[in-house]
Amino acid sequence: MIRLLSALTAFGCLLLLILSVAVLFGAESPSLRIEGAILPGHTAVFALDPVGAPFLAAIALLGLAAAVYAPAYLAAYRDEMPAAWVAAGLPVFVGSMAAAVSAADLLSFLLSYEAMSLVSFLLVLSEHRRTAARRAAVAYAVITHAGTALAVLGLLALAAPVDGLGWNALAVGARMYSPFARNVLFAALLVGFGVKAGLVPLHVWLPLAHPQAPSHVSALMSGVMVKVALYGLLRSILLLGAGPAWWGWALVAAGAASSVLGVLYALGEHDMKRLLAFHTVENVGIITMGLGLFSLGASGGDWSAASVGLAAALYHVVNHASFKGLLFLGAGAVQAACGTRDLEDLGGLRRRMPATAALFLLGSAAIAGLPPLNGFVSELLTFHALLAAAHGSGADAGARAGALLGVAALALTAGLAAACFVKAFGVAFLGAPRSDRARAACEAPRGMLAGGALLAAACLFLGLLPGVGAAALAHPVRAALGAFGADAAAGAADLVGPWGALRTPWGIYAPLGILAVLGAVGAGAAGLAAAAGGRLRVRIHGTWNCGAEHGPRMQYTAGSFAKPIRVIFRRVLVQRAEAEEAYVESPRFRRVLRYEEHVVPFWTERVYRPARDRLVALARVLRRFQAGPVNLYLGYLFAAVVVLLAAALW
Amino acid sequence: MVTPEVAAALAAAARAILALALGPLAVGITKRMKARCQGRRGPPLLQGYLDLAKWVKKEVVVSAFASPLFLAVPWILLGSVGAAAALSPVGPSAGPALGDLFAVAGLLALGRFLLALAGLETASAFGGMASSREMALSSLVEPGLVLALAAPALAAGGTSPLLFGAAAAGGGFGPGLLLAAAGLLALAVAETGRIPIDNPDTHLELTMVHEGMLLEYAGRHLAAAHLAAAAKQVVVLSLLAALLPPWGGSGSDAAGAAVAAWTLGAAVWAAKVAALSAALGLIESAGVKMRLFRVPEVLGAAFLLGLAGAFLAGAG
Repeated sequence: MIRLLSALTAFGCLLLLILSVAVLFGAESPSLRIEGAILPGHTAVFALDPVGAPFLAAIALLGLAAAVYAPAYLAAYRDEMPAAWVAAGLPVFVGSMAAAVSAADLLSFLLSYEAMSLVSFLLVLSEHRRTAARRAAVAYAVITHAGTALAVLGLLALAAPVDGLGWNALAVGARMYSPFARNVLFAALLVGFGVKAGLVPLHVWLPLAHPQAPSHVSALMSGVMVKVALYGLLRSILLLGAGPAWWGWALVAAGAASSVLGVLYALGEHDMKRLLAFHTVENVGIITMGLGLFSLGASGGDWSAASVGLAAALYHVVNHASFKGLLFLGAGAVQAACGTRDLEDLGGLRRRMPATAALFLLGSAAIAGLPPLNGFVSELLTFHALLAAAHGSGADAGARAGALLGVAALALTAGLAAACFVKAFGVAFLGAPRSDRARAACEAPRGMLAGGALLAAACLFLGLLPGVGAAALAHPVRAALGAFGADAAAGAADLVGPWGALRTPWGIYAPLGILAVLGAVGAGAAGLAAAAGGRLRVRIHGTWNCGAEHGPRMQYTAGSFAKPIRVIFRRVLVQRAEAEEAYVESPRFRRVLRYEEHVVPFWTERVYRPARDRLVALARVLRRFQAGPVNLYLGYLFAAVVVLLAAALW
Repeated sequence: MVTPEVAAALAAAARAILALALGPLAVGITKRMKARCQGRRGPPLLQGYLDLAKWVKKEVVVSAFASPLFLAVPWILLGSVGAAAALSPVGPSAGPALGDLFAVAGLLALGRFLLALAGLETASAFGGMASSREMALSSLVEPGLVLALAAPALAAGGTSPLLFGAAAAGGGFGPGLLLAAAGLLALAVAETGRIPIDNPDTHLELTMVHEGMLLEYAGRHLAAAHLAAAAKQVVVLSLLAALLPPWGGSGSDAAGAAVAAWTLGAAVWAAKVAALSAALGLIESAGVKMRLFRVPEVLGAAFLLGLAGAFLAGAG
């Protein structure tokens, strides 16, 4: 049953992938019209337009990988979760996301968006017997619906002055508002979609909910569900039209803050899935920076810069889906094999799980933004868009300073992300096993590896042939710029270089050539060394430990690896240390010594919890009005009648 | 006749080979200057090559915990530094490049990532300590490095480092590039692992960063790693040299010009890199190695210099 469901999901995703690639390269999408299903007299229209096509490609790719991965994973977790229901939830989840990005009118979009939230809530509850899962699911449901409510209000406000719910009608409706009202709408939509996307400080649900779901669902949530929220944000920007420059700067600032804070919080984590969830916050920040640069270019009339910014954002959408999905599937394989996600209990897994280790290494290098993989391509495009914003025709001193600070933030993020993944991969897969569970791990089943291999192939393809990726994105970028006028679409920069290379107005990037030089130099040097020193003969010996017996506790742990960074950034990463010792007779005969250090989740403890407590206190005060005898309620009714009579007589 | 693409490919290959071949000489100049400051005569300038020849013939001993990646990393590291050199203004630079300054930073980051993983491979505390410190410090070097290199990019209107020399020579040299060059000098100390940020001559756990990651390597792999570090010094100093006067012939489109212009460009580049290597030796002798948690202050100052430089350079 599970296999059948997964196979059907995989087949459906393959069809959606073909559809999205066809639309990317210029085909006209078929439209699906459903009459009167939601409201009488309303036709739900689903037609993929070029702007939604990259998002659908990401959804379909990750859905396909998850569907291939699911049967083996669910077989391992049969006792902890209702596997058949989880397997059934997967096509509904993927289908709702696909419907959301291909919806052509407001009501279909909102209903698909809500369906996506509900199904993901249920999937987070898969291991419902665990308290942590239940708590995370409730927090997720409350926070995400608060955000969705705000986004719904914003979009409905756009629809109010016009007749009809298609995107074109909403764009007309947006123009009918005063500039002040459009500013308010922009802020509301930014916050509303920002909650679901995971922008700091609205991200607190993300590290709670993503680790609790089954790994392939976590991959989908991190990889594409947040992208649907970003699609909503992009659609809102297109609907609202050209706005003041502060819209773009708000997006760039929110994106920069999310990316730096996301990666710093990730460095404080040693639960693999929480670490990956914080990295999603970081990458959403990078995409938002790209969207901000698009909006900035559009408001200033610099269409070339706007096109590079949007291309960067869309490329990162697909990139992040592929490498984050790969990493989550790998983390799930590790969890299934070792029974734990805690880096402090892992180690040396590459010996027991070599294929998983190789795939995780590829994903780590990709997310760290290292050439010649795909993460570097979208970061490069974002850097170029930032330089264009610093150098553009309308760039005053403030804009230049802002863009250069954005460059600094992105470079810092890239460096810290590399550090975090040296930690994650190195502590889990290299060295010696730190626990019996790690010693007893076995390689993941073929189905899990196949899902990961598919995404790894995507990472390699998008990294080595960025020109092909840029060619695929040319149509969506032009279509998006078309919302600002025909000359805007004509001003889009051509990003395709020769031999699959990427070329922007600022520079060129030819990964195949670079890889050729790298390979030639490396191989040449190895050959020279072999010629000079003879054939390589390796002697294996234990690691020298200054004469002491070597044990796995001699190694660095995840916490100690990140300690220098945590100390350097201690003003941002608030930490708490607890030490407990118990002794008999004298401190020199210690019985118990316990030292615990953890990063305080700043936003949860210092912002959200006090706010929630204050809200609950206010509710308790208001409860007094409702806890009285029947006479009190009759008194209320009487007072209400008196007030209404007085108002009517006036 | 040689087509432009073939000429560009040959020029890129020449840059890579030049950086690798002259790396040990640059490190030798630095060591000699340091020794002279300490009142010693110092090792011969070509000692680096003799060390490489010695290591290549030695036996390779590998920890039982290490994976196949461990033995591959030094070659990939060498390849990444060579590729970075192919994109940087090493020697008389000319012709279109395969990548820009972000690709150079990315390739150096690739080498660093793999070397840090190699540090964790052997399950020893030294390697973990070195990897941890290297990643912490390098993540702070990145923003300053990118901004300091963005300054000439903004002045030149393009991000390929091969254009930097021409942009600086053609009137772009002003307060912006001067500040960026100052920042880049501080960051060059960090990137090449010199005192006061790291000590390349020690193997004490308190003071190792780069050497710690190489601790478990022996034989030809150690030779490759040291050659990569030396070539990286040439690459970073070449980037800095492109921003500093004099600019004779280097950076201009010397591919079709006379042999004289090409030779002048090569000589000017070699003189600048040698002078900067000696300057690194002076900087090493001028102070002591800083405490680890004081280093971010220096890197922060270099970042501010880079930011100011890019800001002023973009104004032009």
